[in-house]
Order: sequence, then structure tokens, then C-alpha cells
Amino acid sequence: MLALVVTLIVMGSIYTVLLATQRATRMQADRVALQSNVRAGSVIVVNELSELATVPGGTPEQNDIVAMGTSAVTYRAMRGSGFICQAPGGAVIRLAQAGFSGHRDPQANRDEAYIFVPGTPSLDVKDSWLALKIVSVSVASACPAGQGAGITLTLAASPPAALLVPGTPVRIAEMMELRLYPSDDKSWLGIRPLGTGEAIQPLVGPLAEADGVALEYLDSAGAPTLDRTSVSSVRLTLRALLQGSEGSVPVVEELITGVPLRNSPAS
Amino acid sequence: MIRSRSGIALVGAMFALTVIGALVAGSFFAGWMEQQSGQNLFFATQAREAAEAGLARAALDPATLASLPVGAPSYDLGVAAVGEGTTVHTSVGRLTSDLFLLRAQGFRLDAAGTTLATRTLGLLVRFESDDVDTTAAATLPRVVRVAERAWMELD
Repeated sequence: MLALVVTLIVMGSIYTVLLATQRATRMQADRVALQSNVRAGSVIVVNELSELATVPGGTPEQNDIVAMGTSAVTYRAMRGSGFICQAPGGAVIRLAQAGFSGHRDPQANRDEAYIFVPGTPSLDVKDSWLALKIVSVSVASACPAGQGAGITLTLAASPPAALLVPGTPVRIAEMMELRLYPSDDKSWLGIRPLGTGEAIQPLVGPLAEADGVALEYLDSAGAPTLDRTSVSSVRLTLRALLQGSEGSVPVVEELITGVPLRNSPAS
Repeated sequence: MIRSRSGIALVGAMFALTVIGALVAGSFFAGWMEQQSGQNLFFATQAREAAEAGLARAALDPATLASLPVGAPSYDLGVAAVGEGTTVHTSVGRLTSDLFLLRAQGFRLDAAGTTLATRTLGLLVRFESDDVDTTAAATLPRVVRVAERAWMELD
């Protein structure tokens, strides 16, 4: 009888220890996943935003931040860059495949091509870029003079022929939206290309409902600014939530990242 | 008849220890994965910073740039150590008569010199003539960053 009682007590203790260990392990694994998630999301946002250009008081084409809010930003993201190897005529330009770098190849009716326009310093005309919508993309034709494969872009309008000198840089851009949004009773940081009509996709989450994402826009002096043409860095705060067992206080994981905009004059 | 049951406690203890050990090992594995993931991101960031440093410290001699043929393979500016285990390889290519692409490839290496992470950044620079100054030293144009969208991620 005594042995039975002792065995029951010992088994009960072991079960309690096992349960606690299992709970702690699961909690730790969840927390690790949450930290990885937040960190990976932060890196993606840094890569998305660091190439943005701003020109104080500049035109919409010069400024890549289109709309900015505390939990959402609409921007023109750079998706690749290449160099003209041939200008067959009209609205068609050809880029050398070998010199092209980017996350993906250009896509018709989604991307814009930015063609470099050299300035004339003696006349106080600065360098700029001419933006034209890409209406078709082909890889059927090669570049001339043994330069290898080409990417042929047909643009929505003909750029001035004088601009299309071989070697001229062309940047590929698309409009994107990054924002906090609700889904399945949770909040997520989502991203979507605006040119394709795609639904927003989750990037990081679940996040704190009201303040899961906080975007602050700073000027060259590091002061907050409401002028999107004066932004030279963005401070991103991500607050992710880990709901523990019932009745326990949720764990909040916060990560703050500063993103200097490399194509802002002051950055 | 008396049957000995003294072994059951040992078996129970062994079983419990095995289960706890497995849970702890799982916990350590999750922590190890987290550490590896964090370290990889850290290496990538170091490679990127090395590339940034390469762009910032590249000394572009106008005479050298002026001697480069348009469209020729990039001119090698060499490899420099940026910090512990990080190096940057910079090169410059002439795109048009006035325009150049400075390319900096940052590397994060381990102790044996194996590449752990790499990142390539580019900067568009151009010749800028000064029509006002007519002294001999000013015959070579200055090298300046292009006014807009000069900085680019390449790989």
C-alpha cells in the first residue's frame, strides 16, 4: 500500500515535470520562430526601402515615396538594373542580359523603365531619369557585336534617340504597398505590387493589433518630417505578439530598424 | 509468494529522463537554429557594409578613368580588408563617354578564407567638366556621383 502511494506521488511529480518541460520547450520554439520571423521581415523591408530616391521639392518621378503613413507606405521599388546594348528604333530598347541584375526579369504592364538622362552641369541641368511604362518584354533577340543575350523592352512611348546610347543605364521599378492589415483575427505586415491587382500577402506576423508596425520618416537632420520629398531615412518598428497559454500575459517582441535611403541627397 | 518489483522505479526514471532529455535536446536544437539564422543575417549585413565601405572609400583617379575604353571590361581597383573577416573588391567600368559604374563586392569570410556571405553594390559616377576654371590642373574633369538614383543593389 505504502509502495503504491509513493509510486503514485513519484509518477505524478514526473508527469508535472514533463508537462512543464514540454510547455517551456514549445514556448521557446514559438519564441524562436517569432524572433526569426520579425528579423527576416525587417531585413526584407530594409532591402525594399534602402534604394528609394527622394529629391526635396522634386517631381513625382523623382520621388519614390508616393504615400506615407504610420502603418503603411506606398513606394516605387527598384527591381533591377541593366544597360542598353542596342536601340532598334521607336519605343524599343535592348538591354544586355549579362549586365542585368535584379530580383527578377522585367515584366510587361507591371514595371516601368527608368532611362538615364545625363545632365549638363555647365547649363545647370542635373542628371535625371525618364520613366516609361514597359508594354512588352522579349528575350528572343540578342545584343549586337557578340554581347550575348538581350532583354528587349517595348516602352509605352519613344524616348528621344539621343538618350539611347549603348551603355546607358536603365532601372526597372514597380509600385508597391507595405502595410499593417488584419487577417484571421490577427494583424500582419503585408506587401503587394500595385500594378498587378494582387491581394496583399503576409510578410511578418502575427503582430500587435494597433501598433504592430510603426513607420517614422526622418529628414536629413534626423527629425520627423511629413514631407515625403524630404525623407532621408525611415525608422521601422515591428512588434510581434506571442500568445502563451490561456490567462498568461502575451510576449511582445519588438525590433527597431533604421533604413537610410541611399538615393536621398542627404543620406 | 513474493515477487521483486524493485526494477520498475528504475525503468520509470529512465523513461522520464529520456523524454525530458529529448525535450531539452529539441529546445537546444531550436536555439541552435535561431543562432545559425541570426548569424547568417549578421554575415550578410557585414558583407553589405563592406560593399558600402568599398563605394565610400574608392579613390577614382580621373586620369585613369579617362583612359578606360567605353564598354571594355571593368578596371580592377583591387581588394581591401575592411574589418575582421570582411573584404571588398572594387572595380570600375566605363559605360558611356562620361558615365562610369563603380562596383563594390563585399565579402564575409571565415578564418580559412571561405566566403560566408557576399553582397554587390554599385554607384553611378560621371565626369563633370568645369568650364570656368582654365588652369592646367582643371583640364581633367572631376568625378562626381550622378545627381539622382546613383546607388544601386546589384546582387
